[in-house]
Amino acid sequence: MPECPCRPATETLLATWTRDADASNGVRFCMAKRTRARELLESAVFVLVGVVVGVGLGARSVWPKTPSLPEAPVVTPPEKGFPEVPRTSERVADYTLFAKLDPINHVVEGHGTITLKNRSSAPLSSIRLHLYLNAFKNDRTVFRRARVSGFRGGVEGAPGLVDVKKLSWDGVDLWPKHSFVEHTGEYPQDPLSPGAPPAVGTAPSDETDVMVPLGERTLAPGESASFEIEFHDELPEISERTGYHDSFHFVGQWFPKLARLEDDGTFAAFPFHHLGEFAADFGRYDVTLDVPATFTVGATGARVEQKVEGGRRIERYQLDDVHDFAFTAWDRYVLREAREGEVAIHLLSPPGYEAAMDRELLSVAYGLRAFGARYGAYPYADLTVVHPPEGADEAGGMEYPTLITSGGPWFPEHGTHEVEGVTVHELGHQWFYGMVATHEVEWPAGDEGLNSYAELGVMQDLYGEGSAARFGDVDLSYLIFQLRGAEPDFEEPVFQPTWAFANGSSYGSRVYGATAIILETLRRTYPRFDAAIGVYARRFRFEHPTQQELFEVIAEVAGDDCAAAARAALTQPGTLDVYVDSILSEKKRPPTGYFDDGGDPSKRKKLGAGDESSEGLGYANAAWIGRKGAPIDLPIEVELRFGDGTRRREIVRFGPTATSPNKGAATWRRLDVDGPQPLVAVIVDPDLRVPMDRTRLDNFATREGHSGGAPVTRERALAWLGVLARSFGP
Amino acid sequence: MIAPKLDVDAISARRRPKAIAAVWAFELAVAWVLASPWVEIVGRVVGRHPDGDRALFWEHGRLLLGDALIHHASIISALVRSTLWLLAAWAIVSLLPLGGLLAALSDRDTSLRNAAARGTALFARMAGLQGLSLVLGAFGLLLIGVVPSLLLEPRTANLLPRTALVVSLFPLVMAGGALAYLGALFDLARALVARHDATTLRAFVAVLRAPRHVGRLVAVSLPRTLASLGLLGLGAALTSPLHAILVIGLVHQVVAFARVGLRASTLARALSLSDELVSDPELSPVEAQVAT
Repeated sequence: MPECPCRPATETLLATWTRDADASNGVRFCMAKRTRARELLESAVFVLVGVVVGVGLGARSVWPKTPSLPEAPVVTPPEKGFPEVPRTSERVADYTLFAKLDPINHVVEGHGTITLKNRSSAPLSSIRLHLYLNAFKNDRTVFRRARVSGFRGGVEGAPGLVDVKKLSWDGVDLWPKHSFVEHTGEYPQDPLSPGAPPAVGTAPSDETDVMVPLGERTLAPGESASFEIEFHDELPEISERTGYHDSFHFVGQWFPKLARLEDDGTFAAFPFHHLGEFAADFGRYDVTLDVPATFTVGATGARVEQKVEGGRRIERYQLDDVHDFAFTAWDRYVLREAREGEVAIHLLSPPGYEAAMDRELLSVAYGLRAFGARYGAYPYADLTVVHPPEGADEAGGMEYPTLITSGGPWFPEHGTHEVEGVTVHELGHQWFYGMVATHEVEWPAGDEGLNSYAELGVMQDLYGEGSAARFGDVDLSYLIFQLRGAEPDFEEPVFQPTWAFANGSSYGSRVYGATAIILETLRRTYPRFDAAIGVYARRFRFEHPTQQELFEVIAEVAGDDCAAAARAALTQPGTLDVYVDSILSEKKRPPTGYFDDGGDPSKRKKLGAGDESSEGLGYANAAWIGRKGAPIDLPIEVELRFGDGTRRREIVRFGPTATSPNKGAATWRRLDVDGPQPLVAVIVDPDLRVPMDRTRLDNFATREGHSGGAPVTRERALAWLGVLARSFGP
Repeated sequence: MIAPKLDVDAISARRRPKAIAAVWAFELAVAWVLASPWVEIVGRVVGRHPDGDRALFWEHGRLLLGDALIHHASIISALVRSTLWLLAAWAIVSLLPLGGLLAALSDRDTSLRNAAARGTALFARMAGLQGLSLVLGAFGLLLIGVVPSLLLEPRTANLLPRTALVVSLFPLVMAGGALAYLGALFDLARALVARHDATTLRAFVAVLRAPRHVGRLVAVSLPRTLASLGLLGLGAALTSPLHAILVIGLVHQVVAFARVGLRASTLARALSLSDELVSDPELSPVEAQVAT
């Protein structure tokens, strides 16, 4: 019998390696029981360390936490206080519509009454209607053929259209006399030259803008006319916010809609455009929707009636003082109801998106508080938030009166705030687009831009500096999404029509990004700027303000200096870069050379380098601060750091001065700061009050030996690359 | 070449702190090399700030960090690529300290010189095993994880998203399990090579026939892997509220050292199991055949 090999000699073991079966059979290397027990104990400790300590403490400490719902922000009103908001709009266009959805064929059959009040000073002999769904009719429409890359709306599925069957006034059908208004070649984005022939045969190239003569009659100023209408919609596969995806339907821009009537009796008419579509009069909407009984509906306004009969669900929605109506219907929606103050919140999402709903609810609940405090209380009783299902992303991130669509993943809070950001943005549109109804095609920054600024404020309230992404050391400002506006593809003006932008990317960076960072710069620089936007939003509630009116309010509330900076930054091409060019700091020397006392050469003295003491002379210090790009004159703070650790702040401006050689805006300034201590470092805009600055990486300079280096990067890189080295290593 | 071996019950990572420290130092040096271009670039971009790169991470650094990411995206992308290539090279070079660590754990001679010599001598066989493990690992990941996951994806369209994720992740988790098994299997094979001077093929064939031993090694290595990950989390938790870079660095390096220790502990167990394996009467004849 071989020995029990609890402690066998290595040589014995090696011998067993080539030993035959019979010989080795007796050599059993037995694991002592105590060893196994110790092994088990060790494993248990390791599991404990791994799961409890690592995951429990480690991950929890760096994982971001969902904030609780904060109170409304404290807003400082202007000296004269905020103006009262109007309770109602001037109701110019009222719609009473009935719509029956066939979700199998993706068809809506509609009919109803459109009432137009001629609020202009001129009699009307015709009306203009938008037939937006015709933008999806074929690939030759202005919308489809426009060369606008770099923005949403690129999905091209099944086409869609709207056919008007009847449009009658007092029993007379006006529709046979209608004509589509051609816009061929009107916009730089249109590849066709002006007057180019229709695309195919005699078919019009675009049928989204239609003129309907009123026949022998005219509509006098102050009078109203009611038009009976019947129409047939074929919805496109979801694209540019509207259409279907399987049984999901989002129905926007679906009914013949009056173009906005201007003061002079003309209509703000235009073809459906890739980058802008909204310009309409306020009015009263009364819409009855008829969908299969298994479908859940979300719509603009308040549901005032509902019934189920004959396998159909019939719901009636009403809302006053809005300028559009959209609805959604799907047989898989999960509905959650909540309240924030007087507002009933209806959340619709696909099954399994409960965590996203939580995030949307937090966003709209705080958004209603914050936007209400800043720009006037939300006046409607309902708000519906729709989260489109996967595959229908094009329906996400869109605004309609009291109905917004969100988007993003179903996950709970994980450090990035895509869901919150899009929800807050679309909610903000209830003010900037919904109530302050600027002309989106002519002035897209009037709604998207101001709203991006408003969104930024709410996201910073909710998540602080790291509102874009926060995980451990990664803590990115929400401004990062808007910084593209500071370095656009093309240095186009921010305030210009949609059709003037080079492409979708440039439009996105200037309209969303640049407006937000310019206005945020003004907010951080001028204490009353946000109050100015608050006054603007209240004063022009239920109105259609212009750029000029915005600048006038800024001047009135925040001052002429602020308004001038706003005008320069928003209406001129170009961007702004402020920077430190160089610094000078040298010990002052006693005077050397010839000096004539009293100007008398006979009393000339020659002073050499060592003739007088340099004790107490101090340092000659100077910093050169530069400006590149647009001549925007803002007070720019500069921090000066001295050898003894003291710091001093100065304000630099680049506006024209009496001593400017060309009387124009300056491109450089020199700060002379002689003193007892050497100047060792200069930081321009140390508190980041100028996010519109093209880059902050050139905003600092140090004397030799005073640079901070990269110790944090060294440590972080050593730690994390060490982890990688461990993973790839032995 | 067979160096004088330790008795099996003398094999312990705790008894070889010098070897563990050497591997940690080796990895720290590698991390230093990998980090250098990053530090150089960041130093050029924000080093002239009087607060240095603290300005990227602290105070108002979030916007500055955004600037750096936007304005230097192409450089960052190039750095990422070069770091990945360097890591791939390290994956090969790391077989030297791996062989050295196994030798240090197994041999009587505790000198680093011996470990380095043995590591060099074992390099070719270790490389053979590494290549084999990469091929089998990739094949296993594809066969058990990726392909089934892709096949399942269209069938999950009507499930709740969380369920769909779990379903599509399930094959990947299974593949993870298979990879853990494969990792233990090759650790055992490495132990056979280092302690018993087996050839690559002989070691591989032997461990294929020893699922029980591999399973026991998995039971040892998995908790240690978990603990290793836990230490990472702990390191993050301890340092996240700190701004003192030296203290943070120290904590991180203590964690790195402990993780090497845990790995050495797994390898030590593999070495002792290799002794059991070669003396197992059921496996010996097979090994004998392979050996001949």
